[in-house]
Amino acid sequence: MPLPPIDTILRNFSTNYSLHIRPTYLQTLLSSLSSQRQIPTGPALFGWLKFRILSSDITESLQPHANLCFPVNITDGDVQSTVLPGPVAVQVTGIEDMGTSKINQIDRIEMNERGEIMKGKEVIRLVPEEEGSDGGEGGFSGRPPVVAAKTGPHKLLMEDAGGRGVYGIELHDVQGIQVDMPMGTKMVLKNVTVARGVLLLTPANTLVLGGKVEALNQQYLANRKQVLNSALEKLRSQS
Amino acid sequence: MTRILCVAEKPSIAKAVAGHLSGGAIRNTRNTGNKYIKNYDFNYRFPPPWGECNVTMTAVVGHTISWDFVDGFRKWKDCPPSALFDAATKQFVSPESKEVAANISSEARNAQILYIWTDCDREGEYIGTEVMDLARKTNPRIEVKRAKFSNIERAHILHAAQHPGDLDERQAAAVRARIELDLRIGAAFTRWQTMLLQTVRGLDGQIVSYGSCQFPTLGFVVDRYKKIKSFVSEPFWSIKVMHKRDDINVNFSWDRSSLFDRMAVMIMYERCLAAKVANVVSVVKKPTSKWKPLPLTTIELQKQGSRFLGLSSQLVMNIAEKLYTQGFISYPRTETDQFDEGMDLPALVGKQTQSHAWGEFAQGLLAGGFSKPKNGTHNDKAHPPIHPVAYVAPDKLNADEKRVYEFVVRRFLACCSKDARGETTTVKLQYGEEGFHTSGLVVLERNYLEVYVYDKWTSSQELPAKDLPPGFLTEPELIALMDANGIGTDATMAEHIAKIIERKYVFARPKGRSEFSPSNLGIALVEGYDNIGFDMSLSKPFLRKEMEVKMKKICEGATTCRDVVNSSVEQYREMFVKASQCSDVLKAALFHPTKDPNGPVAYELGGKAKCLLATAR
Repeated sequence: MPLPPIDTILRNFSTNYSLHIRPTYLQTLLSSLSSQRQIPTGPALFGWLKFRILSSDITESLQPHANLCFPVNITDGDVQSTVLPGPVAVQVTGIEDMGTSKINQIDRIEMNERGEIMKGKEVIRLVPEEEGSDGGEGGFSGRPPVVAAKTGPHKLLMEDAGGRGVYGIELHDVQGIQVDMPMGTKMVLKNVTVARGVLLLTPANTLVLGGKVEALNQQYLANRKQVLNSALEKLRSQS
Repeated sequence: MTRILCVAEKPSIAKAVAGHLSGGAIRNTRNTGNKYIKNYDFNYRFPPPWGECNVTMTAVVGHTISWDFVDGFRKWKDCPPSALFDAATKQFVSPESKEVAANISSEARNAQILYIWTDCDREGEYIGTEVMDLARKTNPRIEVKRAKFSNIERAHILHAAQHPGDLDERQAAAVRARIELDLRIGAAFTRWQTMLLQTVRGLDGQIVSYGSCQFPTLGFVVDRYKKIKSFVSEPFWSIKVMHKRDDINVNFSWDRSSLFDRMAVMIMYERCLAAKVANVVSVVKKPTSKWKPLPLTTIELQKQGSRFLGLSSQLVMNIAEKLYTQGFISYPRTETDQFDEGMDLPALVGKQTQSHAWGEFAQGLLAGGFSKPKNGTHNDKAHPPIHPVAYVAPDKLNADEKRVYEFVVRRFLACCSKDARGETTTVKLQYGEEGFHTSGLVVLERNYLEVYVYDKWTSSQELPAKDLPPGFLTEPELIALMDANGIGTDATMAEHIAKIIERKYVFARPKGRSEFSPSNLGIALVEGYDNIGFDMSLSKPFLRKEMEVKMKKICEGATTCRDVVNSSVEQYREMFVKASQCSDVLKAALFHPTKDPNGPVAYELGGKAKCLLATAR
């Protein structure tokens, strides 16, 4: 079966997901398909493409047109309040739990590293399962770490297809925003209030599509503790 | 006439039980080789087939039999410590118990039946088997029965006498496994680390003991200390709304309490101000109640004893033990927090009506205020929750005893009364995008609070205290941690805490209630072993928890004493081998040019938390 025309695919992604794929990027994706023995069709093809786009770096995969990106002056701190009509597709490049102190965040990370969780006052040791322990360092990857009750709100750093970074805060709980969400998660923003250059995210204006950028996420995880620790060191030296 | 030998775990129980069974008609009280133990002769009619019997009631004093390694392993220089994992052990009558053992053996000679009255817990079951073995030395065919009782109130004892049961061999086997493991593991690690650390200045001649409960207990203290040490005060921000009406300032707290991000809070604050008006979203009045406490367990008694009475857990237990042997309260070692359906609680309440302090309250319960106690989730199937069994006039007790007795009684009466009832009013505000709330409480009926003076119920104002430095570990906190993590039993926790103080691993900081901080030695031991990098650290609770699980399995019949000893010995032997290969690591943790290993760590708490308030009016 022949592949659907490129325009059809582009339209599909822009109307359904507000993701405006660069035609050249789509071309490359599609041509990589030709080497495969069985070329997916119909919904399977769209599923595959969606997965690839959500795993991509949007500064490479999406069109950086001005009307699809943040306005140039969005981070202007002098503007008390304005509205970003959007839709704008973004990827998350940083997240901070504003409701938890840094020292407690480090604590949580370290317990995770040791494979321990707290259940009330009881320390429980997660024993890596024999067969499930193929997932790399630590051996706990086979089992999702049990994260303590969701705290927050969170502060996020996001970038658009043009690579412009903007901060946002989670004004009301948004499903999918959590401290352990992967870096590179894609979101679509619509009618977002911007206060002093910061986006105020709510469930009504933020849709989390998911995905991640592997390289970005790896780097983020590797530096996470270091970043928190040096922030603490700075506080220590000030007090 | 059949001759029955009854043996209790301690002389005071023997005396009390003999008093109840004989109805006061003790024919003969004989001295024994042990000055505390008396043999009481009297007659008692047991259920058939025994019938009217000639009874001798006596006691042991806890354990009679000691375990040790055989000669060639007993002295420290006899063998390398690692040999102790396999060395043959022997059981023998401990020298200080010679007379006790001789008394049992000689009294058993002419008896047809041995009726064991040791405490009804695991340890008591094991002590029962010790008594049985001693009796069989001189009388191999003696029949063995066991009394099931949990307090020494008269009716209860008579009931127990009429319903003999059997010794639970599995529980005894679990204790046997624990004793052997504690001996082997404790001796091996203690000898090894003590000899290793002799060369450290300040430690020569000092025993540096290892115990599978001591170390995790120490671990909790060190853990907390490290948290205090590494604490950094991080600034946080909050928004507060104050509304003045009828000359009363009402403070509304922010639903988010506080956040660690200045920019975010400033933006939220600005949007509140921009909204100009805050709207009341809801005013909800709700009946509310403060629940009466659960029936009292040993762990609760120890925690509350420390919290409300300012007594160490060990002291509380000693006093409770004494109150029990005098017949004032039920057996104080229990995990059960539910009263049996069949218990006549109003009768027990009735006994308290003569008190000047709480008699009137008890009277009120009998006159219609009584309410069935709440059930907790624990039941050890051996003992009821701790409760008073008889009234004792305050002048019969010393000051501390009086307070512990009072606590037990008040707790019991509280359990038998109604929950306190009140009404809360919660007002919610919407101010811009932000929510705020405040609430007030009116107490309508105090009920149990009248007698349970330890609980307070007032309208509490939430404080933005998110970032206060943690305090040193208090005794109630430590007990709660030990309990949650399976370190020791309710019967032994207090001893483990006392032991690590005696070893100078931790210090009890003199304060209103006891708090613990580690010594340099305590920290070094934990760090040293942590640095060795075991799969399961000796200072963490996991190893001990595993052992406890295995003991429970023995009690259930799912495994045997031998299997448990073998598997645990192998596990610890591996760790021992690794530790000896890494002895430098442990030693390095202790070598410090200026620190006295036995001295307390330098302690100063982290800086004060900063609280920056943006106030909206």
